[in-house]
Amino acid sequence: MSESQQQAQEMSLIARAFDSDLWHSFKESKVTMLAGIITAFLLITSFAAPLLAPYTPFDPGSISLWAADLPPMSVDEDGNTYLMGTDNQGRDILSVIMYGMRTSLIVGAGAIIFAAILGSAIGLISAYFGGWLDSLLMRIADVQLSFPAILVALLINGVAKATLSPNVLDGAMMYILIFSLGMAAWVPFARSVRAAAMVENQKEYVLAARIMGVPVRSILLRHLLPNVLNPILVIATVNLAISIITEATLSFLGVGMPQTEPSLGTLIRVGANFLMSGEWWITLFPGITLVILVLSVNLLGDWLRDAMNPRLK
Amino acid sequence: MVKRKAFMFLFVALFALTSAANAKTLRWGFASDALTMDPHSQNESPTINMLRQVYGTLVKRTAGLKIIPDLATSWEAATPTTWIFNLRKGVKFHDGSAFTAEDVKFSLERAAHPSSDYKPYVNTITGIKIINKYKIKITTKAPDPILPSYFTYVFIMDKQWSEKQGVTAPANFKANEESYAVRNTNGTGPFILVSREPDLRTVFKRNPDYYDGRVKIDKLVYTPIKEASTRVAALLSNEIDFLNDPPVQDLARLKATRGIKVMSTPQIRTIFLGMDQSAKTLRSNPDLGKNPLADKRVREAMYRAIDAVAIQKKIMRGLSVPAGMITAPGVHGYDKNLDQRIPYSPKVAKRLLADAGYPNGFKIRLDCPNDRYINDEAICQAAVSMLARIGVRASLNAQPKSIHFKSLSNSESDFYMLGWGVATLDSEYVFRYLVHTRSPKIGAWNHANYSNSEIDALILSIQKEVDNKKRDKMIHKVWKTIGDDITYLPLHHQVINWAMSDKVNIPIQALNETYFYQATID
Repeated sequence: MSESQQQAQEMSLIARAFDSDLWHSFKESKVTMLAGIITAFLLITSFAAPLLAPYTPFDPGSISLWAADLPPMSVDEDGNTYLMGTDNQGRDILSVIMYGMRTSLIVGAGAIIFAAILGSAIGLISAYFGGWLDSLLMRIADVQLSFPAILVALLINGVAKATLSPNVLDGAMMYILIFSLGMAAWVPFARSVRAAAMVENQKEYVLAARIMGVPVRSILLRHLLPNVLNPILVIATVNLAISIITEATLSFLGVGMPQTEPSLGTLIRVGANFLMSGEWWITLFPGITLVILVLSVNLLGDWLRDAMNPRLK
Repeated sequence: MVKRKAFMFLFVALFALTSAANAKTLRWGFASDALTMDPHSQNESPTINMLRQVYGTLVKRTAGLKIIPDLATSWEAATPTTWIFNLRKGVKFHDGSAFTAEDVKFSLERAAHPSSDYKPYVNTITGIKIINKYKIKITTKAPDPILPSYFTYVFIMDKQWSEKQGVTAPANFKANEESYAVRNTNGTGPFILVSREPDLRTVFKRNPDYYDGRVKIDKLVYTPIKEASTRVAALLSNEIDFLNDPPVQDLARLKATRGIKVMSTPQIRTIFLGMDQSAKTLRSNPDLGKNPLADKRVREAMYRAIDAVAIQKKIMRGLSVPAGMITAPGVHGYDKNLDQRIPYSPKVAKRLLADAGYPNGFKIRLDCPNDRYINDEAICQAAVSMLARIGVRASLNAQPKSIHFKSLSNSESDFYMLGWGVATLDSEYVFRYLVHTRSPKIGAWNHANYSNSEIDALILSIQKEVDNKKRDKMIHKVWKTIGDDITYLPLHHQVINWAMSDKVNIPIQALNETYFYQATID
């Protein structure tokens, strides 16, 4: 295959994507477009924070206490401008938000990926094997569902805090949060995947594969999984917003990300202590950012759910 | 007859109603709870302040810090090494049993028990002799001219009650020991403990038989509220009436609010950082292979890296006094000339670090409380970034005081924040806890593990010196030496602020003790 041919094929892939139902429904809805643009913007600013942020707020050596508590749009003694003001330690709020949003997104997305993998695996196994294993796994899911997500996350968090030494705790906090939020969010994945897989399970190609003696792992991963991906994608997007909010709640309660590596929730918590004294910018800007982020992700999720639902077409 | 009964009933009901309406309740808020209600288990100010509401001491201080009678009505030094205390007659413990010399002897001995945190308060005592029911003789191993000031902190328990409840020894705080005395009390103080839910709510009621004036508050409700803004919101929304640690950043707003008043006074408490100088290696960075804090140049570098004025102006909003000494004005032995900071200079600090063999600095962990001192966590954060500028990369471990103090007691910290108030208003108290080499009976809070045999000897002779001039000279020498050795890294002297509903009247006290027995509500 020549290079130009390959290029042409790739082009056609992109062209195909632009010609798909999904893209058309995306283009049709102005709100979804706006949400998509905002989400993309937030994603870029947060993940490119080291390049884009005006200051490096988490390099303790670079912040000066003398620049603390400056209101938005102020200039400090050294001539540095702070668009959104500074916090009580002299960190630039804008930069802090960019880094904080990255943390929020990593934890939120990490938790959802973990939950999706765990939930899909349980769903697939349940659907394929059925019987007592199915009953057992689904009863576990029922039990899990009766606990509010935040409670599960708090529980796992508490155990981790009590068992890990403070030396490693701060560094491990992100993984602990991803794990605990993921553990709280796998049930919807498991249920939807199980339902979808049970339908697929009865279809001829799966039966044929079984008769031919294809290994179970291959049937699960190569035959069933690709056909149940749609619900996973939809649930993931809808739950991403929830997971970001739950993480923010945990951090706001002081059991989430540490102050040395804050997420938006941590920033809101720290800032809330200065709300009474009139330093509104420390908490307001991270708060607004969280609202915008969650709202746009939620709108995208809603759109994806509708667009992928054949019954709504 | 029936009519008369009905009338009586109505009368009683009305009376009950009006008296309930007149019941004066004071709702009190603070960042953290008492660590225990065992009177000899933890020598920590908020704990002591809570105990003070319930338990009496032999002598106590006025709001102006003068020593006055409490359970002892008079006392005198019969000889240089013996003290006679005449006890108050007719005093009853909250459970109704009578207070006698037996209880005093028992309590002093309990305070000297190995699991007590009050051993240094009583470590000069060699003999306690009951002369009669209301007279007790105390002998000390050497002249101890300031013994009464130590007794302002030794709470008196009921011997019978303690024996009955099996709490003759203080609960061991380090080992998380729970005993009946940790949650229940039986004192002679102005308030009776009604219910205690640690970290949630503690309720006291008036002791109707209190011997030192009528207590005007019927019910005292204590609620610890960790978040600073929530605490202020609670005061603003009239959910609490009294706050003895409003956040400094909110004082301007509180002062401007109608119906709320703010009182301030310099506190006898200094905030500082401790550095373990005796450990072989750093617990938080064992790979380094040695302990940089053992080198005075490193300690000086860290001292010079801290911009105490920035902390005062930005974090404490001007409400603190940068310190060069770890004791505050008002304490006997305080010296303005020694209370000067080594000048802030990151440049010199870097050079000192390089001289000591750490041109690139080192990693360490800074342990801090986050609910104990005014803006403690924010101060530590600022210290972390200031240290980073000279290459000392400190990770911050900010924890509730209950965990922080326990980890200090268990020698788990290289570098920590501590604040020290001076109960006896005498420097010797600071030496006794913070400077003398750490040993079972003395030096309990010397987690810097400073150890200087010459200074140790000096401290022991200060304890028994009766010639004031000589004693002052020795005190000065200790301060000078530990200052020169950079034993601690002083930050500032705190200022107390109390915010309350303007209906509350209470005398402010420089040790941050709240004398609710003198409080009134209009």
